[in-house]
Amino acid sequence: MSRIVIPFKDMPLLFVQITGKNGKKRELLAAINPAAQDVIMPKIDAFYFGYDAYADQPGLKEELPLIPAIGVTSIVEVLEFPLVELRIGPIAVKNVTAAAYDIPYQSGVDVVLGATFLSKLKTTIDFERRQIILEDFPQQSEEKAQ
Amino acid sequence: MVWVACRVLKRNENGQPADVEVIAMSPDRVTIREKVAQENDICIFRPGDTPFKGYMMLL
Repeated sequence: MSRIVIPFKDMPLLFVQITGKNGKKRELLAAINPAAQDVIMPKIDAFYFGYDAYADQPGLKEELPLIPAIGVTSIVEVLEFPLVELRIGPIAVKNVTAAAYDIPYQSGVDVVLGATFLSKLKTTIDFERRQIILEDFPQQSEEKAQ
Repeated sequence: MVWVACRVLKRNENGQPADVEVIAMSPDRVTIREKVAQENDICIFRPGDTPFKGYMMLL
């Protein structure tokens, strides 16, 4: 079993390494939100990973897997797609469903780690000690070792 | 305000970047991606307060 402890200052933030379907890798700053169904990432990164991230433009969205997504103040249409891998240190989760959506840049955060990633791990946010603790399940560690 | 694109030279025990080499900078979140579009395995972030000073996060 892999276990990592990441200290944080004000918000539980961490860097996550993302691999897209074309093999391209990016490492971006992420917030943790288990209420988010998918992992959320910027459209521009999804585009460079080879997905139709700008498919919400009129005339382009026929036959694409767009789904309505509930935000804090509105409902938007987003492209949903499978990422090849998300990795944080020794912990890797493969085939993670993500959605292309631009969180306002003023957040300073590019990615939201939602349930499609967090449900594969035991995640603890210890606000008293200001630590994020991530552990993969024993079964995943065994699969990784094979 | 600036966004930076870096190669990670060293990681800590939890895989978080500990030392980086900055290869591009931009005041724009999209332009920084365009500058390193041909590069692979790049870390992109905005140094400084998160969220920006004067904002709160409501996700």
